[in-house]
Amino acid sequence: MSPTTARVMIVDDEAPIVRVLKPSLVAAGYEVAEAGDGREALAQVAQQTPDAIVLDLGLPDMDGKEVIQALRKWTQVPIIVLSAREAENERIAALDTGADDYVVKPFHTGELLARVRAALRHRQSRTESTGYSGKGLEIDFELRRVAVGGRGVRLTRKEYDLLCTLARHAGQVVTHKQLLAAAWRGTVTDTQFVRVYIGQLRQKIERDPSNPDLILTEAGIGYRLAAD
Amino acid sequence: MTQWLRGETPLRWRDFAYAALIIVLASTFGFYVVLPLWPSKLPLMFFAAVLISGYRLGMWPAIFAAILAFLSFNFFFEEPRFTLTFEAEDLFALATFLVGALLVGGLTGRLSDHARQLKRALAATTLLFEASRDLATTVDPKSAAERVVTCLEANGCRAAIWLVENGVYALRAASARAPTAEAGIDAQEASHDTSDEITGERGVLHLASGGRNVGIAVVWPRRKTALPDARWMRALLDSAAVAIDRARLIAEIADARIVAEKEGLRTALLSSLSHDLRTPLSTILASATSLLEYDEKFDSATRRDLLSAIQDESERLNRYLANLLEMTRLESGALQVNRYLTDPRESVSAALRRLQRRLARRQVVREFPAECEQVNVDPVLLEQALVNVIENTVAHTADDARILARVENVAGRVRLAVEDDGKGIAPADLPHVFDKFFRGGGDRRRGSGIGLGLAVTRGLVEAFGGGIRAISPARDGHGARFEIDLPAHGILETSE
Repeated sequence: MSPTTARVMIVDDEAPIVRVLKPSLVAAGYEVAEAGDGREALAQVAQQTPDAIVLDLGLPDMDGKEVIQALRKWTQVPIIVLSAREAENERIAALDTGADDYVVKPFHTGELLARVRAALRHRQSRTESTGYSGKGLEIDFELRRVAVGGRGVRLTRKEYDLLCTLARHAGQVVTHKQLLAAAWRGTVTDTQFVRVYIGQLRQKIERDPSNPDLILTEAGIGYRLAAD
Repeated sequence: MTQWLRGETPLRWRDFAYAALIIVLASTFGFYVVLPLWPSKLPLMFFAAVLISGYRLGMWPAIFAAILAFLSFNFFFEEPRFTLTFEAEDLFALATFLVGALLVGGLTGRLSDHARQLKRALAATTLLFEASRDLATTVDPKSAAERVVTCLEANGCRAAIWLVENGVYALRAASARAPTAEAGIDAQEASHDTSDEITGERGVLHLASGGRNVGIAVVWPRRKTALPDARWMRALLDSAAVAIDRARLIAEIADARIVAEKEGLRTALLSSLSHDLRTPLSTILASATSLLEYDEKFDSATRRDLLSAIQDESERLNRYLANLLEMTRLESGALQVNRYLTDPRESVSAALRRLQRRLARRQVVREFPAECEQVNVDPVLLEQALVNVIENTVAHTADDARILARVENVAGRVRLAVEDDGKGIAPADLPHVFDKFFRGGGDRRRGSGIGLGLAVTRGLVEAFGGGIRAISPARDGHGARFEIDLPAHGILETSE
């Protein structure tokens, strides 16, 4: 646990959800702030400076995406979006607007807490970390070295770039678009490339490439590197 | 009289030219051959020429030939030659020629008129036959009406047909430039009087079948031609009336069936909602209230058990709702499909992963090829389709069942198969497993679902251009296998 308690803000207009989430987050050791709609959320974020935000996309007063847009003008605070299963396009739009991750409603509390943890960890690691290690996968960002179960793996530059991007967001979803930007730097727009290279990457680092447990597919959205 | 004289054979200038040619030939032949040898037979020769003209060319060209023959005979052969002199006996020759022309030409004309009539009657009969044949297979009143109009047009007239719809005449088919407005029939109330009325300008004929007024046809002659034979029109319209009536009955029966099906579906949906959504809710409510009420009396194992029940049943509710939603979107055509080239192995793995908890005690075997063709699908929806199939398998097999998930490349297609070693599907149920709200053998066991999962799967798979089938027994006389076939889109290129 970090020395100062992290503060998580829940932005949801549905009281029952908040009623359940609040004690769970408190039990997990977080401080909790609440906001019932978008306007309140925008005001509260400035005052309370939360370390992570759990944002419901269906707010009564404004579109969740507008909230993300407004926040991203001045803060990089991690935002985890709650959305209905069928709203896939809305989810992608939210991620592209600047949300860090999403959880599909209805969700397991454990799943949401894992996302919050990943988001907070990402926030900390952004500056300092020089390597990644988890689930038998080790990456040295400075030496650009990758090892699985202690054995070194040779990756092409693009494979490394993809894996590195996933690792820097370990536990968080990374969209096809973000991966394209990371490995091809805007020279390619066809997400099919990402699929091809992820396929190769899996061949090299997964125990069973047809049933991956490191690089998980978020169907239609992107990939997620499984965190511990 | 004029009708007889004119006949039905049209006059052609060419025939008069032929008549003139015949006489010129006869004159030449007469001048060089007959005149030197048998001058007295010259009139006979000209008479023969006139008869030939009549036989070949009809009456009027023959009369023309007769006059030319007389003039030629008078001018070239009769003394004083190279002058036209008319005496009483010359007029007798002319009369003879004319009588020959009239008799032979008239006869020929009538014969050819007759042949022409026969030909036309045959054509009309063929038209009628073809129209009847087409009408016999028509299942839609409008196309039947259109077929009749086409047939009437082929027989040289313009026509329009109004069909009785809700007691009012509605124009359903008409020739181009048919003066339908002046017929004044549109939107009129249908009459019970079904007698026909045919004049020179138009024919108004009723379409009646079994004494019921089905519609009305108005026929106009084109240009100068007469209307087709009344009996012919009657025959055509009678078979049309029967066809239209039958088409309408078929449509009514189909409508009735759709209504009944909808009614049946609604009943099934209501029973499904009331039973299958309420069952998990009951468990959730009972567990939660028990925990609230007796929390301190339960040991921790009981508490966990009740809480797991709440979790399991909530997840089940969530899956039901997802399928209900998917089915609604499939049926309303509002399904949004984001298709990508997808590795089917990944979809199967993802579906198995999603059902990890429910599959925990079952023995799951994967059989994936090392190289696999891709499929062009919405990965989210394909995963949903597979989850439904696997879930169906879980629901219908014992806890220790063996489940085989296989992906294979089969000639231009990718086959995703889920197979179990359970008791299989009853032969009577096999054709219905993909029907909405169908549950095998009145199966209302816990966890057997609302009978939507496989219907949704089929809908999704078909939306991707694929197909699904159920096979039972799968092997060695037991088990069931579901096979999803999807069009293959090439192997993922993995070289740098």
